[in-house]
Amino acid sequence: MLRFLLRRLLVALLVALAVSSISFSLAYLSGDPAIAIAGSGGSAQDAELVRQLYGFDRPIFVQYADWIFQALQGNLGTSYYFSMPVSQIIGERIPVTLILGTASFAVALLVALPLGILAALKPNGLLDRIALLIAVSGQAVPSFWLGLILIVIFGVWLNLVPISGADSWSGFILPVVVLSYYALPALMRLMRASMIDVLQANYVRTARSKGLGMPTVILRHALRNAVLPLVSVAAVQLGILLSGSIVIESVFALNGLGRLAWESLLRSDLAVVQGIILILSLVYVMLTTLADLINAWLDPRIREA
Amino acid sequence: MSKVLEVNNLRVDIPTEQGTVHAVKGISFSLNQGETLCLVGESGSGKSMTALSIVGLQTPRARVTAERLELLGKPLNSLSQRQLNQLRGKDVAIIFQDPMTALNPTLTIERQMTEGVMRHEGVRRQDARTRAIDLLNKVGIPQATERLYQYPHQFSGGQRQRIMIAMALMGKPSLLIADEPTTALDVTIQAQILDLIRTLATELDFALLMITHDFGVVAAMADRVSVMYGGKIVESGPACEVLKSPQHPYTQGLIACIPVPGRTTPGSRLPVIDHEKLAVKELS
Repeated sequence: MLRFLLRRLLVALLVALAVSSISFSLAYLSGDPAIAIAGSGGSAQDAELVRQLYGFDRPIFVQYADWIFQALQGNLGTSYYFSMPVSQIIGERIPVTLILGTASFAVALLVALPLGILAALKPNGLLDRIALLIAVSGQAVPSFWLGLILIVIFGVWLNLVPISGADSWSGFILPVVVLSYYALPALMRLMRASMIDVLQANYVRTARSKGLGMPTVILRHALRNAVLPLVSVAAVQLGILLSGSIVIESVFALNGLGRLAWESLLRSDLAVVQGIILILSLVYVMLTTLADLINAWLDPRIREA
Repeated sequence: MSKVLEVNNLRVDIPTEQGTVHAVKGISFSLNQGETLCLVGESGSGKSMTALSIVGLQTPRARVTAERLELLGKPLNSLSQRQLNQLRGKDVAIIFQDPMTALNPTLTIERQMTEGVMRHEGVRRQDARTRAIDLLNKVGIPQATERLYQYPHQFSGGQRQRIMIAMALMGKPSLLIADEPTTALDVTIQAQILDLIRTLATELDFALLMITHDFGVVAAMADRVSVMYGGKIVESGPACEVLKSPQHPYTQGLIACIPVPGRTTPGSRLPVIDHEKLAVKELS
């Protein structure tokens, strides 16, 4: 298990390094950052000044090494737009996205897992049909539309929750509902399909032949195996939710990472964009590594692979 | 000798979209304590369906009916699911064909062996472990005390079948059903496993219902044999008599299909059962 852990962490480190170099160089693909910062009214001298000021005149490898070295110390550079440390700007925005993402993920899991399991117990039964209806409409209804409708109903007509902003926890209710409804269908359908599969496995029949009750058979014997394929998908889903949804954050006027990324792109605020991409990719690397570790904990065969 | 299992006019019907399949068409047999009965037949003869329906593990769609289906005098076909669970793994246990998939890959052998008796008899985990180690020793798993905490994938196919046997015997069953327990194993391992089951049956004196397609297994194991064909028992009797002078043409065909050195020359075709001829005979 320890060898598996170490090897997995080493791979994660290499992936993180590769990702950082991509996220660094991607920003240069859109054109000369100095000209972008100087703006449409800027002269050639302005651009040259910017180049020297931000060090764009150095070779790109030196810039990358410098950026990585600074990033390792928690310094992601300075925002060209705000003239503030990038880490501080991101730090201010990240809590909103973190709360929204994890809460939505938790709600999605809490609904998707039991519903998927129950649907699998009687395929094509009434509950399975209802679950299918929920999943299909979750996939078909656009998030922004659902968000607006919910705002109209619960915010404007019923006046139960604030219609925008995150000044109090109740401001999170609607965005969490919308975002978890977005994440729910994939998790639930996968749980159902996986559970149906596992319930037909020979070892489930063996478990039943020992006289165990259905709850024990499902929770002890089936679930552990059925949840395996779900873990990696759930990790990616959580990654998506933590990246911040531009649409949801815009509809509900939440100042999260999604909006910051979008705004920074429009302002050509390169340092912020690079910082966000780096942090989000690191989050992904962490989540997939965590998913692998969870799977190894669940399934002894993976530990030795 | 006391009667362990009594099956009278057992039928298994499976409704499908193309109409109802009559998998088992009214068969009867009984088993006494310490006795071994082999149900022989080819794939699709209904022998496995018979075995599974006795313990209520048939496919959910299948309808099982019987005039009598009694285990130790208890009517299996009129028990609730809860009452049936109290018998399974205690009075009756079953070993399946494929040991590679019959054990749960994510749970230790210890967990899988002890959970049944802990539920049925309410014994403490420690006592259940002691019993599991005893049985693992008995079925020939070396270093049972350490290996108890390993997972199924750390054992070979033959060892897994030994573990299945040990697990089945945890509840000291009166009836052991073995559904083709050696079909998925190497020939050398097959003989060892059959040997083991026979030794245990003698020592622990349980009734054994052995499902097989192999008359070699019948010769090695059975006191009595019932030959199944197309969901019916076409011939029954003491194993040695049926083997020596089979009456039904299907039984004769099955026995003739066993390749014997000297009787079949290499390169020649093995005898095949002519189902059309049999079907004509069934009708007449």
